[in-house]
Amino acid sequence: MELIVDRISKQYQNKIAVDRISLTFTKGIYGLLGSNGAGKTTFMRMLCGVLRSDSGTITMDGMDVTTEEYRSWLGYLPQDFGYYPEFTGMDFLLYMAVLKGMTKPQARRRAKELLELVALTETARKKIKTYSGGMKQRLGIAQALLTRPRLLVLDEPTAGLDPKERARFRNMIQELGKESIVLLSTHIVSDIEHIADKIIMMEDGRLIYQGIWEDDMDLEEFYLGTVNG
Amino acid sequence: MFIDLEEQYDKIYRYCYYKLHHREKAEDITQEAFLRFLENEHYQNTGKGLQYLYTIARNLCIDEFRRKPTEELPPDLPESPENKLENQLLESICLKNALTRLSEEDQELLLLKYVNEVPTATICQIYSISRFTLYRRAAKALSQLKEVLSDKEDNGRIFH
Amino acid sequence: MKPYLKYRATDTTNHHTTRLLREVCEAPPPLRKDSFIQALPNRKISTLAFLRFQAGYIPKWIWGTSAVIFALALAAACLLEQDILQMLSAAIPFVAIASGIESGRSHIYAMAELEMSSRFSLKSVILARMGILGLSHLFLLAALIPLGALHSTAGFLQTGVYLLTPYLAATLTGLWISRKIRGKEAGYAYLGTAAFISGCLMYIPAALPDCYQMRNFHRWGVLLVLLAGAVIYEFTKIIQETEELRWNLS
Repeated sequence: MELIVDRISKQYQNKIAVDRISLTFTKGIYGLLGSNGAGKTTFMRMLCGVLRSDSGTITMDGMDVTTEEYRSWLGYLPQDFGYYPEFTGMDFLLYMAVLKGMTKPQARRRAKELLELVALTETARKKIKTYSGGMKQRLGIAQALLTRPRLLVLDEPTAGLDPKERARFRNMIQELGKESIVLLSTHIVSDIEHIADKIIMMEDGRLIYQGIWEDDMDLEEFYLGTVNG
Repeated sequence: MFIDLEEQYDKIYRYCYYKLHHREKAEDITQEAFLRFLENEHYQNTGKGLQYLYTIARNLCIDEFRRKPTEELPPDLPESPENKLENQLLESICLKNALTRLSEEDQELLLLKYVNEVPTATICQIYSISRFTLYRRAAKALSQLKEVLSDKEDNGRIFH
Repeated sequence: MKPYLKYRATDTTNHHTTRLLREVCEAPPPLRKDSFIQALPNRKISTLAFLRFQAGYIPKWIWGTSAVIFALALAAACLLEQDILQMLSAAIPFVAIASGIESGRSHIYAMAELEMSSRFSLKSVILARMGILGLSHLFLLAALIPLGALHSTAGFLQTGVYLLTPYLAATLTGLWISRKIRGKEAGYAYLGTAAFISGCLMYIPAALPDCYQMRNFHRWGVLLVLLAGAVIYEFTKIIQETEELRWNLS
């Protein structure tokens, strides 16, 4: 399992959001760090086929990011996601499942499985508007796992979760990191400390560090004081 | 007919395990059966998907027997949680014994019909028997089992 | 012992036996299921099934509006002995606006990003919904034309043009709104434009009594072609945009 990012760039009018980044990912958990505006979300969106890069290529196991096939192996949890207002948790999962190419019976079974995994079985029949932030986030993670993705991209997944939920989430991610490529962006130092195998740091659209997390790394300094949690 | 792979995986595996009583081999054959099934477009496009899948699995199991003649396995104790009542355990053992007294094919019919819930039409196609034959044999096998169980009730009382 | 209890005793034994059978035949859980299934090439839902699926997500009130208008038209055509063409053309914008609304829904509800990263991307979702709506509108218009022409001096062709023009005008503005206006305000924009176009159609015959005369028909024709071209243009832009959304830098 290998994700190869080759010199991708993205420019908006006069600002360079992502500047010629090349990386290779294999199974495991990668923490993506960077202050606001560093280009993390843009980078992640390109990995998910949501934005097209101006140049360069992204391929996973031979599949190009622009193909349906690539996306069928992808699980993505955006920073802010919405839902059609009438949706219950189950409706949402079913909708996403079919969008990801599953048939209805497959979708139903998979949705039930995942609701159990994220402990939302009881509230699955309730409308999402009644959910707390943490519940909604769990639903989002469930949606990302629908197709047993090879690549899981999570944009600030623990934002808004209480410490207990964060811990549960970390355990889940650790399990997933054994079988797939997990890229998660976060501001929360403890997330990185506990679960990331490798970290990637971005600033002003450029890759400034990639490697193992060192215990003596001073993230606070890196973030210039924008750390939460 | 569309095959829900996830659902059928467990069922085919259960079938193979019942025939082979070997966890690993059962899973190997299950996966092999699926691969062969999926390789062939023809299997998937007709309405006989499930029939083909079971037939492939069945044939693979038969091949496995030929390759390695079965040791006479004693009916193993069903995996039961510790808190299962002694009475229930006794029942399970009785049933297992009773099953082995049925013909190989009858055992399979029961498994397919009552445990895996395979549609009647499909079972008939797999074994090339008529619906009537299936009902007759299944009912007969079931009543034989019931008889053994009710015998056991009497026997069980002896131990109490 | 009551007789019915006796009857049930045998039944329960059958049930009991099959239940026991299920327990006894149970296998230890498979170990390699997940990795096997993950490694399999992904199997896909058929396009037709996908279309049917998306059709189910088009809000019911959109179908309702079409149904109501059709019912009213039918009633009016049968009960009123007068020319209802004008009324029909004034009602059409409210049906047409649905296309714009559907196109914008993903953005309004912020589902777009998720839909874009899916196998059936946002583009397919929009195409599917537009296609289904377009088809339903086609049927509606086809049904309304004879009703409109019933008591009118206008022939089928004329009626068709007189209905199609406001339809395209409303569709055009609807699509444009879906691209330019986001958020809940869009709802007001849709309603406003539909009402505006509708109002125009009710007002025009008073202001320009000759507009429905045959000699001015070619003007309608020209307008129709222009609107059709504009709608196609807007639609292509929408599809292009689904391929790559422009985001504010976050």
